[in-house]
Formats: sequence, structure tokens, C-alpha cells
Amino acid sequence: MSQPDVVKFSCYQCSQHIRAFREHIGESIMCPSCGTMITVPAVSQFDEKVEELVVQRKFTDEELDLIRQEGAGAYEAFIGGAVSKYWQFALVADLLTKRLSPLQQSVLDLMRRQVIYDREVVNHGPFIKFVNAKAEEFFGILYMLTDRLAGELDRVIYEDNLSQIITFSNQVGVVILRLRKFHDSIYEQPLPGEYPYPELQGIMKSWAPHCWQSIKNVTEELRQLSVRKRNDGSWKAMQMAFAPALLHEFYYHLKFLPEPEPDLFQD
Amino acid sequence: MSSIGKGSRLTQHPVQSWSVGSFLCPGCSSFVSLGDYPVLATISCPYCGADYFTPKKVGKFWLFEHLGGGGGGAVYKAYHESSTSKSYAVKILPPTSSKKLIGSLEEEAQIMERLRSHACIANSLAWGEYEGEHFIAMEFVDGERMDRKIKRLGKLSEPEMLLIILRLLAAETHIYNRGFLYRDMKPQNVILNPQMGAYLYDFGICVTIEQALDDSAELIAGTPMYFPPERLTGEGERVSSEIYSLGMLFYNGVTGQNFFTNRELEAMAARDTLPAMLLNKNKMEGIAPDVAEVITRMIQRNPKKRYQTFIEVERDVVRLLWVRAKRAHLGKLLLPEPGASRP
Repeated sequence: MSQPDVVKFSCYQCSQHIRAFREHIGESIMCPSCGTMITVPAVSQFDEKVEELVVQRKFTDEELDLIRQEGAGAYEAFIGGAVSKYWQFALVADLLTKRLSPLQQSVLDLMRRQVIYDREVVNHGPFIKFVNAKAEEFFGILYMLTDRLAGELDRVIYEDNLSQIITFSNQVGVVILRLRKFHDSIYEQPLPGEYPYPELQGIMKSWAPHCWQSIKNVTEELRQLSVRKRNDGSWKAMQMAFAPALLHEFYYHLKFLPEPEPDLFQD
Repeated sequence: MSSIGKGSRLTQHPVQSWSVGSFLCPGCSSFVSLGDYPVLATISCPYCGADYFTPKKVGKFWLFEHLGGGGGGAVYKAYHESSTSKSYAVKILPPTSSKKLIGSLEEEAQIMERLRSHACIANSLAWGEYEGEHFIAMEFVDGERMDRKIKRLGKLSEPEMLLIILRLLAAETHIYNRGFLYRDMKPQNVILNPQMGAYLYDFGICVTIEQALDDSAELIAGTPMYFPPERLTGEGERVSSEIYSLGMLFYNGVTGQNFFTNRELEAMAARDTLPAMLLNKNKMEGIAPDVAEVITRMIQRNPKKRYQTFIEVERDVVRLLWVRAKRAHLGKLLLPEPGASRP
């Protein structure tokens, strides 16, 4: 079936078949497969059996404004329009990478030193409280992170809605900032040098880097999907898991914390 | 004899004596030649009569302790000839194995190679053939098989089970992202290291994602208690099928019982039982309601009604743990097992 309002042509670089609406004739677009810039021809190069429908996505001024706030790099890529079905993946990847950078600075800060507790431990109470509170805090963060990425990511990535994508990345950004705060607080709190504190501290220090690496893997996967040749089913070809493998070991050492002293000031 | 000589002999690593064709009897500490004895068999020392399991060399590994054996070969604990401080697990096939069995072992070895380097699976190190014997060498995980631990303790504690599920989810996710579906999730394939937690091993019926989705693939393998109903009906398997098996394992861990009785399994195979009858609420008695809710959603008969991705399960399991961590405020989520000592 021929559609009068589209032109069909192929990329001179990779011979990917492309369709574009007639209103885009003369404009230059990016080949969805190899990224070469091609000018949309006025006449179709062939008529039938086009492999894939690729429609150029135009952005409104309001949408472009939203992207502009995200920085020059993202804006440049979108000003000429993007190819539908793919642009969301690249945008989510870009935005998440940007939101990750505060955590990245914290995680990759190798010069950081642990504050050391150098006195004799008289009362274990505050330390036990700290370790338990931090574990609870991390579970809360992990729950929020998995909740966003399990429920929301799927939804926003297939909806053609730019402001929703930005809202989503902001929500993830909030969780990432909390994760950074958590990571920094582990370094700032001095803990006794006796077993099991150093072990527990070491494991807690590995949690934020683990989450950072896992989110980074997701963004890399999204970026690859955004340049793939065809939309083969769903992006569920990838699975995610964020819980650190060392959680079990953490609880193993936690069992050997000393019993807290009874609080004399409580009734 | 000087005490120095005797001391050095006792501290000698067994591999040192095996490599010169003898062993040091643990009973009377005399050297005995291995020459005439059969390999991988329990013999008695000619001097004192103590039992000794004779080692066998396969490739660069010295096999010295029987760990278990499945349909696809026997597994032995082993030392490497040069790095004797670490133990390994080596799976070997008898030299007379059929070509099909050898082929499947090679396939498993190749899959394990692709899956290598994850904290929650037993990673393979080498595989090959040595004097007609095909073997895979992998990390030795020191611990207890999950089904044996459940049998010993009756059931596992709820928080421990949640931590096990999280590690298994991480392993399953890793396997999926490398392009495979595990398809054999059951307590018998999980080793619990007291410190590090659950490890997954035995990749014997692991296949690629595409093969799993292709219903006409091959004969039905696995354990009926744990494999998903779609393996019988031939609808093709995907992530939700793995989640079903994981849910069955979850149920088994927190109750100590199998979800289905043998009679129910037979009825299911004959397809004359209504799904509604099989999911009656009585089975969830004794499990915390929020945990029961997650398990129920994992083991729905209809794949579309289950969780669809691993991260959805992870989210709910993390939530369960979070709630319990809050409740245990200043307390301990896991209590030491009786007899556990400080490391």
C-alpha cells in the first residue's frame, strides 16, 4: 500500500530503509541506524515493502525549553528533531547520567579517609544505633530506587512525553542524592576498631558504589538501545537488580555486635 | 626421629605427597604408596587400618572428596596442583559416558564460561578433557545445600530467606543479561555459605533466552515441584517462569514444606484439577501476610498474573526487609544459629 504523504528512501551509508513525512522534504535528518546526516529527498526512491516506519519527531518550543535547561549537549541533539521510538532511550540515558554525577564524585573520591574512633569503647549503644539506623536508611533508599526503576521507567520510556521523562529523572535524582548523603555519612562517622565494626563499615561503604555501577549499566544499555537498528520487541531484553550481593554478609556480621547497654535514663 | 622432621611431615600439604605417588595416613602418619590402590575409593591403611579416600588427578586438579552426583556427573572437592591453599569443585563424567552426555557437559561448561564472575554463582575456572575424562572445574563454595539446611532446621527464618531471594535475584538477573534462562531453580541447586549467603550452581539445563521461548525445544527436564506450568503446556518460558520457580523455593524456605503434595502434582500432570483449587489460601497459613502476598503473586498459574521482571520482585522483597529492619529497631534481624562462633 502506498502512502502519498510519505517519501521512502534509504541511507547512502548503511542502506537502512527510512520513511519520512512529506513536510520534512529538504530537511536533514539523522539516520536511525548509523547516525549519518541525510537530506530527505523530494521523490521516493522505492515504493513498497519498507522495513520500518521511522517518523521524525518534532518538538514544540515548550519542550525545547525543557531540554535547554538540561544543558547544551542534550539541547543540541534535539533541536533538529529526533527519530521516534528511539529518542526517549537516549534522553533518559543522558538525564540519568547527569543525575548520577554527584554520586559519582562521591564514589570515585579515592583520597577520602575514614574518620577513626581512637578511644576505648565504653558504651556501644550509639555505635549499634548508628549501624542499625544506616541499614534501615539504606533499605529505604534501595526500595525507592527499585520502585522508580521497576514501575516508572517502563511507563515513561514508551510514552511520548518529554516532561514526564524529565520528572522521572528528577525523582531518580532525588534518590541518588540521598544515596550520596548516605555514602558520605558512613565515612564521617568514626566507629570502634574492634570486630565487627570495621567489617560492617567496609560493607556499607560498598553499597553506594554498587548502586552507582548498576544505574550506570542501565544508562549504558539504554544508550545502546537508542542506536539499535530495529525496535525488536521490548527493552525488557534487559533485566535489572540493585540489591548488593554483600547484604547477607552484612547481616552475618551484625549478629555479632555486642548487646546494647540498658539505657538508664529510660523508664 | 627428630621432632623437626616429624613436624614438617605433618604440616605438609597432601598434594605434595600425592604428586610423588603416596599419601600420609592421618591415623598413624606413615607414608603409604598409592600405586596399587583404586582411585576415588575408600581404602584402609595397611599399617593402622584407618580409612582413607584415595585421590585422583584430573588435569591440574587433585580430586579427593566426594561432594555429590547428579544425572550429569559426579562432583568432587579438589586442590589445584600449584595453588594448594584454595579448594575447588570438579565435576567429572566417567570415561564411558555417551556422546550426548559429553556434549551436554561441554555445553554447560561453555555457558558457565559466559556467566563467569558474579558474586552469587559458583564461577567456573577451567574445563576440558584429561585422558578421556571430561571435567569442569569451578569455585568451591563452602556451605550447606539449601534443602539440607531446611531439613535440618525445619524451615529458614524469614529475614534469612529474604536475603537469600535477593542474592538469587541478582544471580538470575546476571544470567538473563548474559543471554540465558536458568530454568532449574530449586533448593537442591542453592548452596548457603553461612557468611556470604546463597550461591547458585548446576547450569545443566540452562538455555539461551531464545531457546527458552521456543516451546518446541526439547524434552521436559527439571523438577516438577519447581518448574513452571508452562514447561508442561509448552507455551515457552521467560522471566516470569523463573519467578514462578523462585516463588516455589521461597515458599519451601519459609514453611519447610513443598507447595504441592505429590497427589496434586499427579493431578496437575493429568490436567484435571482446576487452578483455583490449587491456590487455596490454607497453604499460606503460618506465613506473614505481606510475605504470603509476594509469594502468591510469584506462583500464579497464569504467567501474565505474576511479576513480569526481576526488579519488581526485588522491589517487594526489599520493602519486606525494610519493614522488618524498622521493626527490629536496635535489635537484630538475624539471630546467630545455636553453636555459631565469632569468626
